[in-house]
Amino acid sequence: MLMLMIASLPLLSFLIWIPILSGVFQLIFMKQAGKKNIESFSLCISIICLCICIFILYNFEYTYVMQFSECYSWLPRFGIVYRLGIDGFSTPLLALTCFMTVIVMISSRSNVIKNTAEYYSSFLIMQGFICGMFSASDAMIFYIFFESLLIPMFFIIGIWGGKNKIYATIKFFLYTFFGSVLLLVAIIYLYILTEARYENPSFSLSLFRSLKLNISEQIWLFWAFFIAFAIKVPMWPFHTWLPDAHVEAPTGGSVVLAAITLKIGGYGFIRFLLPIVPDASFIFSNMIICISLIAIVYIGFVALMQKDLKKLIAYSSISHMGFVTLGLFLSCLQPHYVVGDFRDISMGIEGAMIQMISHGFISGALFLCVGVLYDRLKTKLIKNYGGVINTMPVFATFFLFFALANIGLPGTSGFVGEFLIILATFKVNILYTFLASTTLVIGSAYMLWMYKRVMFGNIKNKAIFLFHDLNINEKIVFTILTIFIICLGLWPSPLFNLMHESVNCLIYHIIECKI
Amino acid sequence: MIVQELLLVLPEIVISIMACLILILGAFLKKKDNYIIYYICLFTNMSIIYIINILLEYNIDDKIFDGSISIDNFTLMLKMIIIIFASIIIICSQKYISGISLYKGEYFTLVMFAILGMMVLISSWNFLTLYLGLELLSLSLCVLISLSRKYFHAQEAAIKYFIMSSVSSGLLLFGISLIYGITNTIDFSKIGLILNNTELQNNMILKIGLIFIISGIIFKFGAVPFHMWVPDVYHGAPVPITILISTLPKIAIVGIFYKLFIQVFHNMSHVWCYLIMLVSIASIFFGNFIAISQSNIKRMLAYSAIANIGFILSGTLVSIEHGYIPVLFYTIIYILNSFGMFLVIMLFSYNGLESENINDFKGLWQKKPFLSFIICVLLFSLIGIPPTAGFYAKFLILRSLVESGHVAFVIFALIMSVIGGFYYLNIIRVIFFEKQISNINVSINYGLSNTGFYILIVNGLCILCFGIVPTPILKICMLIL
Repeated sequence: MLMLMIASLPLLSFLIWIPILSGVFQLIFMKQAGKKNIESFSLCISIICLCICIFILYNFEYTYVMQFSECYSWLPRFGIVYRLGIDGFSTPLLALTCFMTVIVMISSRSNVIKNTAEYYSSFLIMQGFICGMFSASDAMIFYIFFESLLIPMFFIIGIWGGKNKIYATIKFFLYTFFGSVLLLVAIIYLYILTEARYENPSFSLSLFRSLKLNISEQIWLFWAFFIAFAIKVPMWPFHTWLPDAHVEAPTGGSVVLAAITLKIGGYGFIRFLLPIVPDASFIFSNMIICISLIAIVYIGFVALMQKDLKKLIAYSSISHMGFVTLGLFLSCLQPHYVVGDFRDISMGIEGAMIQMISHGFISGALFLCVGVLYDRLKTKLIKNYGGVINTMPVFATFFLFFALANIGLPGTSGFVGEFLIILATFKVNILYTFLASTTLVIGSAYMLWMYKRVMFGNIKNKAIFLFHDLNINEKIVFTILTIFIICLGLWPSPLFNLMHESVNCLIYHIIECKI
Repeated sequence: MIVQELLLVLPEIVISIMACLILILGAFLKKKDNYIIYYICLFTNMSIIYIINILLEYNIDDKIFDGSISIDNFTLMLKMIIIIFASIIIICSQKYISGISLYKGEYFTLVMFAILGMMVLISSWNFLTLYLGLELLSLSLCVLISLSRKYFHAQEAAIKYFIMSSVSSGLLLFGISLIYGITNTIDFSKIGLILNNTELQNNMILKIGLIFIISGIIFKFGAVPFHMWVPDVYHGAPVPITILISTLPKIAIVGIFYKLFIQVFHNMSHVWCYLIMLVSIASIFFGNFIAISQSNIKRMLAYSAIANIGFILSGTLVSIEHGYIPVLFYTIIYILNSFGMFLVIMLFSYNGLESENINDFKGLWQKKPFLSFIICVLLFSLIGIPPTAGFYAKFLILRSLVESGHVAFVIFALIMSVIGGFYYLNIIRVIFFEKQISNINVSINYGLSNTGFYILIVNGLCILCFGIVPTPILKICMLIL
């Protein structure tokens, strides 16, 4: 009875507006409240959101239809409807967002941060925006949250960032802003097409999906969507903002950036690009697969040469996100090569989704590890470290585990996604398989070499003698992350069940020729 | 009959009588009694708003004085908006102008005459009234700019403005004479009728005349080929005058554009469309690019104004098919934004000490968090990022542009707005990310009274609220049309 009552509440709206409103509340009223109070308040809010999210997961039905949907007329003259709803793609990402925010809240507790209230409220507001974006089923609502998201991130990097923060944050902002204006044009264009062809035009994504587009329209829309989301992923030629942003961002900012905001790109591909312009996606899929492979191989080598810990992990993020785009566009290509059931085709998309979730955990964990080191020595350069294992054995264990998960060790979540995608490449082209699997070598090269230089050997820097091992907050965070990474690696089937129907629905849209 | 016609222009009559009265009063009053003028001025404005309100109830749609003036809901609403804005500007600038010893009769008289000029301009229905209104407006503005005789910059700006505005008036008159030569009339309705003739639409002299008229009006707008005066005037004039120049004439000119292009010259759209498109592309391009290198915030806002005018013009480009609402919406939101930004500048200037260098705002956030938040909202709205009202303004214009197939233009405008993002972000960077420097004059003296400060805050919050629910502004726009 109680469950039914709760389920009838507008839960998605709660998930969006509770963090935003409490963030604003904190910004206005809790400036003088003291660090402890602010931390506890934000942690409470994020845990409440996590609880709501768990409830949603628990009540989620394994179908492809939009669930928990809400629909209110918002700006009828613009054709904008406040329309929310989640399916198998958005639910895992929503859960990831809520979960990682809690992690960030716990892990930031031990750090000394100036302007605490503003810091935590930025994160809360950002969480609200991201949840709104993942749960939007109206393109305009998606866009509004997508672009609003820039503002808190801009401030997080700009205010609490490192030495070169201004360059990094303005680059981040302008890059993403550039992508998002193209997205805006594409959305408006689609809306005007619906206006011409349907009686009640709207920005509804389902309407966009059923829109018939000719090939030249599809190609233009494809490029607009592609550039917008490729910047977010980021894919190879558009990636240069990411290392800068990561290096300068505070630890919490890096975690959110790597774990959540990069997924927006992949999610955008799934939501907009593949179902709305499937034929153009097919035409360009070989090109995008090549770009992804360049990201995987070339960026892997770039990561090998990095002197800065955060930069190394940022490049490894780009390389791993290359797998996501690879998987997604393999599924575009496959229907034309393989005659079989959906199972073969779905492998790429499911692999990409798993890769996104697992990369969320792993990269978040790795950035937290760098944050732990940075808090102690105030430097991110690899050459200043060495022999940390002598003073921080517990940390060394966790760090090794996360590094191995990043490489894709079987048994960790990193393995599942990469394995599925590599399997999917077999069905298309053996050369792709070869190139994609080089990541296993390059990845282990840069991760393990970095690990060796930082953790092993003799202590070169005297300050390392004074290192104390992980404190309780860090231990909690790392333990939770470890558990999740292992669980997802050993038993990923709940996640598959969650998104299976949605994946099939997406494949149906991809296969159906739109012209 | 005459009485009825006079009643319809009662607002103009009241304002001209009161302006003369204030001038006489100003000559006799002692310096410490000047506040009387201020209250008379406000009272006049209130009464005019009241009169317009009454006139609005009658749903008038009339051409009076042999068709030289048209009064309808559109003109009345625009007049009302202008009067309301003007009153707010007068209220806000009270403290600042007494700081630079301008708090006297001339100032108020000239402001009133400028308002009168705009009102005549909006309600003009033949070319002579249009010219009259435009000249009254620019002459008053010119004197207002040079009113603070101590400042060299102001004098320079005034001379520049005067010379260039005379040249543009010359262009306008020449254009009018050409059109008169072909059509044998200066009445808008008659010209509109004559232009239904397809042969005349391609008449070369008519085309040239139209081009001259457009250039004459665009000068007052400050769009690109005629933009040279904008940065100098914005920089040189006292801040209240800058606010006046940067906001009110835009409404008036958007109004006259509507009349000229949509109601009179709509058959000549093949001529003015290309022209306006060219002007708007050039304005967006130059405005945004030159603004990047500005270190003076007033000049930067001037170039950003040029870029925004480009956007407004691009909206008029497609307004025949898709309505004028996007243009009005954009104009109102832009005016709110620029009004807010200049209020911020005014807040930090007093007794001739202007904090107009961007670096003067360094680290403002640590000292004034709430004010910085408001500035931040205003700037994000200027960039056009949700959840601020600027986003919807941009969105509406772009939607009508895409609808009529100008996709390439839209992409160009958007890329330019990304470039524009850079210089707005630069201010945010200075306010939020830079360390405070000790010798700033920020927050030592305020050029804004408490009322003005509250108006600034309300303005900022309005921008934010309209960003979440823009329907009120939209309703106003629909009421106007």
